[in-house]
Amino acid sequence: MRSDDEAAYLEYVTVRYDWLRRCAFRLCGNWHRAEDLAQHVCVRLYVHWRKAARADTVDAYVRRMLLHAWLDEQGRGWFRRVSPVPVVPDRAARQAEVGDRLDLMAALARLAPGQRVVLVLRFWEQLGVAETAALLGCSEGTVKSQTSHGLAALGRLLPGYAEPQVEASRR
Amino acid sequence: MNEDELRALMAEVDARPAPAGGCDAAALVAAGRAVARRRWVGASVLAVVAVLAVAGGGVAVSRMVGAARPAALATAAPPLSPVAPSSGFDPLVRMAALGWVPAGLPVRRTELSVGGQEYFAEPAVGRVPADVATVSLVLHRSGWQPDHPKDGDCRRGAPDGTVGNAPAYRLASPYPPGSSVGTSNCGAGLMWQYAPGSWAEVRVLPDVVQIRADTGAPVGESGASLARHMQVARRVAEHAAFGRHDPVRLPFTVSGLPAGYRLAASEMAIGQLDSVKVVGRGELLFTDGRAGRTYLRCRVTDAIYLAEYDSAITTVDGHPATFVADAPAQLQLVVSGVRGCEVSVDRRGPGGHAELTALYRTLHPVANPRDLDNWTDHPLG
Repeated sequence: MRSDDEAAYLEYVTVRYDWLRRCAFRLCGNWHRAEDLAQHVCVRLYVHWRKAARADTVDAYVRRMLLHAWLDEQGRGWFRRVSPVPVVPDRAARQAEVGDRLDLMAALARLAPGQRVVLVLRFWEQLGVAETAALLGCSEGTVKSQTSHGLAALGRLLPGYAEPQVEASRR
Repeated sequence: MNEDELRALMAEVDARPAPAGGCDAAALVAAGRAVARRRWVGASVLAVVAVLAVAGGGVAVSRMVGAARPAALATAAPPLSPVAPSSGFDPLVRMAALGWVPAGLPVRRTELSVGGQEYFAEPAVGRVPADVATVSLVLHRSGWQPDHPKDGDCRRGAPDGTVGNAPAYRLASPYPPGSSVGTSNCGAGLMWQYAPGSWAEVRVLPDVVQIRADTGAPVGESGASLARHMQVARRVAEHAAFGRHDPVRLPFTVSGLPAGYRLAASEMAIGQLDSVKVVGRGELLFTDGRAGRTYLRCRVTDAIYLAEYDSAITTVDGHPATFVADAPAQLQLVVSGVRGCEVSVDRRGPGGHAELTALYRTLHPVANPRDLDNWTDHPLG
């Protein structure tokens, strides 16, 4: 990499690393894996920096890299997949706000990757349906239905917010 | 739950400060340079290989990239020693077995990969376990480091007696003290060497995860509950059997996979799993040596669950079926009513409906798979 490219790369990762780490946390639900994911993406970004720098926005390019890295991790052999909070905490012990934060991450972790990523992109990253569909390479209809099914599944996993919804469980 | 409620919960999570961390830009640049160098060297080697292949009529390439039949791992003669093989496990050979397990865990499941083996006893779907949700026995491949595990494995904790004359150790979280990560996975359990250099581990997961009232973080077990589950772990460890070479039995066979596919892992499950109408499941994972992965799965059931999927229902070879696109380059085909099986093919990598359909046609359920005696121990033919 040329020195001016490298300087631009350094500036970008220095400024945007915390944003990237938080995006990763929203997807994977724990900070250790988020750190790993963010660093993995930064290393790949170094290799592909010139292409990223030519993109409309580097953030969008990096977000796409992050999504692919996370989805790729989901596809790893089930044997070695880390499951930090495998069980939604005991409902009887539920505490109000703090409990909700933990419950949300645990509940998101139990959704199918497709549903989870759509909910994170639309409601956390504030992307529109069209943007989400473009990022995931699927139709807007799929994004809408994944959103609907994901919200329904979250309602079942977080009974305090439950509303009658269509069944959408998958394996 | 509606969109506004979800946004409100997400805002609460965002309001929580991120733990200390940060980027070591110099280290990232060094790592990036190393990857770039490897890519350059790799590209050069591929170019040389391509030249050799052209000169040698393709023989060199087929030897180097392993275009041999896919079952290479499975057909290797299994080792006769109980010691975990240093080259990795055969995903079609069970080298251990659970003995005693607590009551109420009738489902038996094994996950075998080259890197390790795990044997589970779990409750049937819909049944609330009395005290223990899951018991599992883990075999690590030879060379596994108990003090420096990877991928979130538990590390060696405090000494705690012996198992079969070998010193045993409690499980400890691989993450820093105070972390809320991994406390549930590395609670009650023991690890020990069942043969020189071969580590095994028993994990006992309780049915309820305790959380701290002040922070909401999950905490490890303590007190009477931990003591009780440690007793369970010890008893499970002492009754586990090692040095076995039992073949995996699956409700289907596979034939004619494209060249280059290699078996990476298998799953065999017997009992009421994800539905009372499912009596067992078998799954094989193949990799293409690069990023591509293909899962071939057969759930033994007469029920049709296609309505659960968010995609149009079609037919494949006369059977009701659906294609599910979960993410970019991630496509799944589910076909119901195939000789008593729901067959699914899950592909991570390039390829469309035609490739997936071709892969589906390589899977052949055994006759009457509800009869477990009909399952085959030669799934690759």
